[in-house]
Amino acid sequence: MIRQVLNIAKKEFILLRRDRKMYPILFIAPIVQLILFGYAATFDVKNVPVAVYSNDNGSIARRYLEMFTASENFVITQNASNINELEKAIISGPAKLGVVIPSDFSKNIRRGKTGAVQFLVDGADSNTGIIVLNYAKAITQAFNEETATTLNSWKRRAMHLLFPRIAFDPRIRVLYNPELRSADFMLPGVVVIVLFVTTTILTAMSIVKEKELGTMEQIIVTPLKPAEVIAGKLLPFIIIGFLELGIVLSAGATIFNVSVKGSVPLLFCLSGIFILTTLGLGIFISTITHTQQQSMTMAFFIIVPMVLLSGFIYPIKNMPEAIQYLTFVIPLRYFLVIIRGIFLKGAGIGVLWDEALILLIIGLFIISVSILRFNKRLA
Amino acid sequence: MSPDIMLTIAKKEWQQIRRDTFTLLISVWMPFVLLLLFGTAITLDIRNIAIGALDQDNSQLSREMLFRITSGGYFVINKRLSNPEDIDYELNSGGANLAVWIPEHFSENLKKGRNPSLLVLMDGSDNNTAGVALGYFQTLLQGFLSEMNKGNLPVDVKDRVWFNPELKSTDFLIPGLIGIIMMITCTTLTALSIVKEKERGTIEKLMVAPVKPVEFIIGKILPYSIIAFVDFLIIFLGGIFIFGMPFNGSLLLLLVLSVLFIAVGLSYGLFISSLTGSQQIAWMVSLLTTLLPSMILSGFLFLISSMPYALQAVTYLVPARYIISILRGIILKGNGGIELLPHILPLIILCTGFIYGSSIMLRKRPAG
Repeated sequence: MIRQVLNIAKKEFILLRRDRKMYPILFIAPIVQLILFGYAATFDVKNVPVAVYSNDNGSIARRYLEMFTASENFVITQNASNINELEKAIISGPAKLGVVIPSDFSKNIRRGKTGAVQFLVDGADSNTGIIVLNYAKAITQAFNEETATTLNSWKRRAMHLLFPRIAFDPRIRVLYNPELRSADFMLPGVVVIVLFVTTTILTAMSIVKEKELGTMEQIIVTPLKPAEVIAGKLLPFIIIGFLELGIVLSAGATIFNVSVKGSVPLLFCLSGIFILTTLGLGIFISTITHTQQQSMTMAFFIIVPMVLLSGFIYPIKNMPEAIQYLTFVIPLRYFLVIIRGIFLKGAGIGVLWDEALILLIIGLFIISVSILRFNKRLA
Repeated sequence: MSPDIMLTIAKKEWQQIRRDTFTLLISVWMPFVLLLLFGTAITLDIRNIAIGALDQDNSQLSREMLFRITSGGYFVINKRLSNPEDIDYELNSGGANLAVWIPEHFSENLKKGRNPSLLVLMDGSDNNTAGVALGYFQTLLQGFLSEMNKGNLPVDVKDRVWFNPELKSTDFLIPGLIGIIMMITCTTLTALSIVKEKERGTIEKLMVAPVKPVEFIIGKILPYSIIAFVDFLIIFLGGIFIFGMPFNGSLLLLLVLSVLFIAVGLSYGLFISSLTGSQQIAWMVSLLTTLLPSMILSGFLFLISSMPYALQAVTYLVPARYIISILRGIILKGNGGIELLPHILPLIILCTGFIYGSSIMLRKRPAG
């Protein structure tokens, strides 16, 4: 039994080895994904172009604008000479924020009155819009604090005596990923995606290819049992899956300096359970398609929604309730929790056992249904 | 060039597509499913961040402060904790994303001007959510403080948000989705259909037939441009009628430019097909080079100006970057003039570049 399985696995390896063109895709693609997700996939808001329309050349207005330039979030790209020009900078780009400072701004503040500033925000990008507005308000708060304590206005001083300013000191500590780097958050996700995509697609393709070429029949007439055929065909992809896991982990450690906080053997063990589900999915796809093109399209059709609903980029908590229930059947969802837990929080099996158990149940279910379907088609 | 020959080839291709109901179904279903996902499930709006609150002060002021933090809908108090050890467990198990610890005598110290400290612990593992949540949190705290200080601030801000005043992420995502779907379907379908003929050897039969390469290619990609256009209509109309996406620009301009988007996708598919002879590789290459860059390097979700400079340079080569800017410009901002040129020109350049590149590659290997 084991000899037969190994023989088929050997044949499969020889086929894979001959397909040289697949090498870069198998081994470079994961690293490209790592770089893209690690460096580019960030919701940070930096260097946002700002257009300013200021009628006030006073030192206070200049100081206020200086605080925008000093922050890494904003770059003042344009000094508009009238309000139309400012509006145009936002409509036709590139400015995402417009700041209007009236002519009596410095004068009012010096006299202890309130200077009115107007912000125009390009809300087309809702997420950036919210963050930009928050940052701009934070700068204004900081300016207010600074002005309230430094400015020598008799009125303000009197106010200060009558109503002493109260303040507290919020001590904020960020755990698990203190610099809020996206690489830390993304890397475990990329591991999952790479494993998922390659093992599912490779399995489906390798089976469908035999169907397409008609070699499947030749294998069937040999005295091999279907279980041996499947086991032999899957073995190489399990090995490739673990290889890719190793590549992404070591690349993550060297390029991004993200290393696993928890136990690496546990990571590999639980990845084994996850690979069970992806291989099962691959076999399933191969049973419902006839050509390579169909199985690729089908795989794409299944993989993309699963990735989007898994919590990889978009938190599941923000989804509507009905869809949150839908995510319970997605194996990726559980594996992401497991892998992020091990990676970032150093969580052990004590915290993760329930996710691992559900993953195992889903995996066994998918793989047995797929093998049953596969056998029926062979019969 | 003879239109007759092109139409004949297009007809032959169309019959092949029709016979493959599977692929046809998926190229129409896929955009619809993605539209539904991005319209309902996927949102960048960060709401209901779970707070574990440890209020040891338990005064009117501390309760008022917690109430203010949760009143905007951004935060909800998930659990009231009773001792500091619980904080660790809540954050580690994911029960709370944020823990607020208000120490004893907080309000008393505050009123006496002793600057009491307030401990805030945040689960940073999801850096995006954490970053936004911290921003909200600080703004809410500051707002609470300045209200206690009875206003009288040196600077007062009035803000106005344009184009998407409710800051709904659906309005922002759907125009981008149109660009991404068009790039993916055009590119993969074209690349696969040509490579398929190469793999099966049927391309040689066409080469010996009295058909010019240009006629062959145009005839072949014509049906796919129609599919891509249908995809475009599905998302565009679905976005407007199902999800209430606004449309502020000129429909005619959008339709004219959609032809350009399709041309870019098709020419890129052509380019890929000239590089490889295997369907498996053509599919992998077209997916890897359209799906990922279109989603990540195009400004679809992530701000280009926040990326490292090397990657910012790469984004200039990603057609989706320009397509998405144009779509958002027309649909959300009502752009319709000279301001679109900086996005249209690069698309034309990329399109000619792809066509030129594939003609060179094909000439190198005349036998296909």
